[in-house]
Formats: sequence, structure tokens, C-alpha cells
Amino acid sequence: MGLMRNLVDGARAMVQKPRVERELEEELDGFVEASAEEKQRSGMEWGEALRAARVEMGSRGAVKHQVWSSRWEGGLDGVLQDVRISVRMLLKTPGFTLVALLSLALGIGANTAIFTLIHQVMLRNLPVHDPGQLVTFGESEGGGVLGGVDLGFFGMFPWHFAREMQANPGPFHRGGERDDDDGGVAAGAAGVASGSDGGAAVRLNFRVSQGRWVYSGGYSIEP
Amino acid sequence: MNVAGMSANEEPSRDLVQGTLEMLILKTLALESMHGYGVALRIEQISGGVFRVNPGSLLPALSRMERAGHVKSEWRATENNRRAKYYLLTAKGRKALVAETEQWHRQIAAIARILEA
Repeated sequence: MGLMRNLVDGARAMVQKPRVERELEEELDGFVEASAEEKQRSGMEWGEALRAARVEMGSRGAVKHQVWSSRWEGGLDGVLQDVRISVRMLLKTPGFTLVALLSLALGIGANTAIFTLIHQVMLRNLPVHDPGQLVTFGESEGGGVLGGVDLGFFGMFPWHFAREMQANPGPFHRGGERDDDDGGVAAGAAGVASGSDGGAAVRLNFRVSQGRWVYSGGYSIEP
Repeated sequence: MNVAGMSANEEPSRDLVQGTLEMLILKTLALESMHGYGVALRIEQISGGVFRVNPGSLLPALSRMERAGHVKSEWRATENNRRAKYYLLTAKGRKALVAETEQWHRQIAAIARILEA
């Protein structure tokens, strides 16, 4: 209730600022006069008393400001004045305003663009059912993605190779089985399976044997 | 006692004890309603000239108290037939005076105990 009353009174004072100012002005006049009368009563001459009373009050502007800012609408009024002045200054120097606006726009735009890219490429999980089980294939040891960090793309097998593997899954239907090396044609290869949600990566060793990929053991790589 | 201004350069401070202005205004207005200068004069006189309140702090305090509902104001004619803004204590202000007085007594009693320990 008190708060409501305070809000209403403050809003009224804002709207009727000239009247409030006038009344304050009148109150200050009355204050000085009453003070001067008191001094006159104690033996001062009127002119001298009036002067002394004014000196005692000090700056009228300061007193008015103190009264005005003792209430919330004074603070709000100050903010509005600041906004008005800023807008006026900006309008006065359109070149500066344009540059400032452009810098802000470019800055915000560039930030948004870069973040969108990083979000898409690095932060967001791939849109598949269980991204943690995805496996990357490649010939390099550091290929693939480990714990959300791209380790580089050298030695990754191309897409049609992956389709080939899909048609002929090879070792993934025989996980854990060890084939003997049949000499000569085998080539070392490693696949890194990584948990995209930060889990430890698993390194799986394969060899090519008789045109098929052969699993030859795996171990975890601590991230 | 009533030669305010002639002794402004006196050595001892004539400022109020911090935080007591509103209580003193409430007390002054509890005796009778008066205008701003009346309050200042009364505080100075009753304190025997120890305290002086300048309009720069008195009027903002009155404005705050009016907003808080502790006092209300109305324009009246003075004894010299001039218009002046008179301040009146409200029921809420009376309650605030009682509460602040009690708190003040508690505080000075505590301070006295500390100083005498």
C-alpha cells in the first residue's frame, strides 16, 4: 500500500514537475523570509538579515536538487535527462553515430556467426540416435574427433569407402576375433572410436587381410 | 541562542548526530505543526544552539518523510499573512516517532555501557 502510494505520488510529481518546482521555489522563499524575520527580530537590519539568511541557505539550486533527488522520481528523472542528452549528442554528430552503430552491428553479427559455426561444428552432437557410439575410420593415428576436439582430418577414409564398409561390415560383425596375418598384403590401420560426450576414446587396431579389415585388438586412450 | 549565522565558524561541530534528523523532525512536529524554517529554528532553540539544521538537509528529509507517509503538508497562512507550507504529523509518523525514540534510547544506553566499561 505504501509502495503503491509512493509510486502514484512520484508519477504525479513527474507529470506535474513545473508545479512541484514552483511550490518548492515558494517554500524556499518562505524559508529565507522566515529566517530573515527571525534575524530582524534579534536586531539585524532587514536588508542585512535577508542577505544573511540567503548566505545561510547556500545555493538554492543545490537545495532544490537535494529535495528533488530525495525521492525516486528524482533518480528516474535524472536517467531520462541523461538519455535525452545522449540522443541529442548522437543526433548532433551523425558521422560518429553511424560509425558507432556499424561497429556494434558488425561486432554482434560477427560474434553470432562465429558462435553459430562453432556450435554446429564442434559443440553440438551429431543428429543421430547415440552419437557416443560413432566410430571414425582413418589411417592416421590422430584422426577423428576426441572428446569434442577435432584432431585433424588427415588419413580419413572417403565417403564411398564408408559405403563399401557398410555393404561389407567386415570386422564389426566379428568384434574381438583375431585373424592371422597372411603376410605381405596387410597394412596397418587404426580407427579411433570416441565418445562424443567426453568419454575415453577407444583405439581399435585393424589390418587389411585378404581384402577385408581385420580387428587386431583395442585399448582405451585416456582423454 | 537566536543569533544563528553569527556563530557559524565556531569550533565544535553543529551537525546533527547521523541518522537522527528524521526523529528530531518527528518530535518537533509532534509538539505542533509548522513550516520548514519553524522546524529548523525549533531544533536549534531546544538544543540550546548545539545543533543546526540547514535547509539542504531539512527539506529533503521532509520530502522523504512526506513520501513515506510520516508527515503531510498543506499550504497555510503564516502569522504574517504569508503563504507557507506547513507540515503535520500523521498517525503513522507518530508511531514512527515512538519506535525511533525507543531504538535511540536502546542505542545510547548500549553506547554508554561500552564507554563506561
